[in-house]
Amino acid sequence: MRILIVEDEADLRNGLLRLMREEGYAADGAADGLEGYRKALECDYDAIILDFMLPGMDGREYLRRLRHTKRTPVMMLTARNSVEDRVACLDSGADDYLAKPFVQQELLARLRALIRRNYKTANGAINLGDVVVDTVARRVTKAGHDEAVTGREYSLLEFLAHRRGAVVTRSELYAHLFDENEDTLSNLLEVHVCNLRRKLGAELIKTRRGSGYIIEATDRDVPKV
Amino acid sequence: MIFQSIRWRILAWNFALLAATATVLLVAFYRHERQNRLQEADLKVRQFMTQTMGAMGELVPGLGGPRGAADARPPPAVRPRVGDSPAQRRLKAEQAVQLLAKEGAWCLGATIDGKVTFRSSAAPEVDTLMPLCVEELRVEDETPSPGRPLDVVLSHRGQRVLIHRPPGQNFAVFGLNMADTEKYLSGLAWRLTFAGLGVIVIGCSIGWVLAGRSLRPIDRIASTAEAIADGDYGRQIDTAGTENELGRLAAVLNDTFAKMNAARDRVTQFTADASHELRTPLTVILSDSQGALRHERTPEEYRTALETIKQSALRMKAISDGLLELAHGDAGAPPPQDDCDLADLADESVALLARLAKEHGAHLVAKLEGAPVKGDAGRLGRVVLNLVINAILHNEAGVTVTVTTGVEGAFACLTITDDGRGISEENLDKIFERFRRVDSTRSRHTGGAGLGLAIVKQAVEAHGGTITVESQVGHGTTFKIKLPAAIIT
Repeated sequence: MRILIVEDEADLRNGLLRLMREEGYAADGAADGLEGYRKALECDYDAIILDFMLPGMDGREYLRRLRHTKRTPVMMLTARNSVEDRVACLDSGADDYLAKPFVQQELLARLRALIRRNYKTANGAINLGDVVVDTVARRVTKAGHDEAVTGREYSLLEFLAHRRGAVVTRSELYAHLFDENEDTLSNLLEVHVCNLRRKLGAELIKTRRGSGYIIEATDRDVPKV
Repeated sequence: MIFQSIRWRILAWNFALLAATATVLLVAFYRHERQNRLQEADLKVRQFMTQTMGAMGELVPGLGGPRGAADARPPPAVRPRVGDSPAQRRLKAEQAVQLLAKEGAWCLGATIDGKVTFRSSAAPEVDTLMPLCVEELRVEDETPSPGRPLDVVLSHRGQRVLIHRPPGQNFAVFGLNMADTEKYLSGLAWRLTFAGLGVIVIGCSIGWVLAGRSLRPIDRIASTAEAIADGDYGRQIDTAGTENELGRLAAVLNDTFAKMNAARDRVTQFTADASHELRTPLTVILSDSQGALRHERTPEEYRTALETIKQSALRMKAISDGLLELAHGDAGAPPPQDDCDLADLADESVALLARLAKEHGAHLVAKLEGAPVKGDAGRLGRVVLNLVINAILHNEAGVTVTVTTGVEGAFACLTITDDGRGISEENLDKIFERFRRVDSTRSRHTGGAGLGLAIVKQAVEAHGGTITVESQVGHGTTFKIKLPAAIIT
């Protein structure tokens, strides 16, 4: 999962970037509205954390422009917590908002909810046959037993699990799992897929030659109407 | 109470005035009319008396003969002739009286003790009349006027009565039936009463409408004030079509409401800004402390987190200090009137800031001449310090900051000029506003809370002075402070 953080306060931005990376997200930062807007257009982020008051382009203007082309989920951070501000914030196209100062747990939970909603996943635990991906605890179990996976392996599995039933190309994986500062030209991806297959069974992640990887949807995943 | 309202009071006064005026006018009119009718009746009675006096002289012994020649002569058929017997003369006289007594007129002859000796056909019952006549004559006799006939006029039971008594024992009563006149007068009284009531009702209705019309602006003012009290702060009183005193009142109130609304908006804005400014460093503190406590960290990581937290706390301190200073200034206590000199204050500031200037590669130049003022030396010193620090920190290395003081006419002046990057025209208007920073990304390393220039402006204005700023992008900025110069003793 890749997150963009648009925040002009450097201390807060760096703190958030650190938090996101510790949580296993790939995170990019932008110090003002224009830079944030450019980055949001360049790359398909899984979510954007956007400060309401920004130099260059304020949060509302940012959203107005972004919504012309992108449906990326946006979490608005606002220091103003009046009803008018909250309504203005949501009506301008934000998917969620959080008032400053916030508690990190709440920010992370809301972010997970935004991402789940975006991928139409019902709850925090994704069931893939006998393998279960717990997106809250960031844990993987196979037949009820914890499987030790590295952060990167977990991120890869979680992304494929959210998109289960669909082929995910290698470039998509690179775009969503690595931030702008990481070297994406390495062949780390194959190593991680290989490790996951070794730990969770060779059949879980299938390779579609020439296009990418897929986790097949099980019957249980068919949305109940 | 509804009857306590101005409209009802106006109506009550209107009613009282109208009722009094109508009553006085109509009663006067009625009395005048009645008087006229009575005089007319009296005239008729007297005329009748004159006409019948000749005949009555025959019928009532001692009444006296005819007075006027023609008037007193009875018609020829009943005129007494020479040679008529007394009975014939009396019969003729009676016929003459009957002939003359028309249109409600009548007459009586009587002795002084009330015994009727003659009675014309239309005469009323005498049971109550005679005692009255006797009593009247007795009263008149007590004021003696000997040798002259006595005439008394009075009204009795719808009759106008004239008692005629020549000196002697017998008297005659002449009367006129007033029934028609009474009927006319009572009809008139009713008509006048109805007319009066009509005038009062119409007058009060018009008064009610007029009072309502002239009081309508008060209703509008009241309803608008109620709406404002209920939280609709933007409301204005509709003053269309009201150009009287109430219209002026409404305009004044509108102006007051607008000013209060603007003041309220400023306070709301300021509170929101202050809250926002305090929340931002608070968020950093919370975020970094939570981040640091999530896992075990290296000492270096803890140090970095604590350093960030300390910076944020310092920023919060700067903001709350600034807000406190502004709040003190807003409270409006006049500054103390100590003797001080802007040149000394500038000199101190330049000395204090020499090291900071050196660190930032700025050149400080002071051209100081005496500029004595009265005021709070500490507060004015912070003003100078604040402006010089701004000039150093908000420009690149190599900038020259010139501080000049001197007296211009009645003013002590201080200018701080730099040849730095300048401020764009649109931002120039905003720099004295609270929490307005021209460039928010720069505020972090300069540690500004966005209150410095607002505090400077407030301090200068509290001392009765002005601060102006001129700037050209790329050429530099000049702040100029003018304070009333103190007279050197």
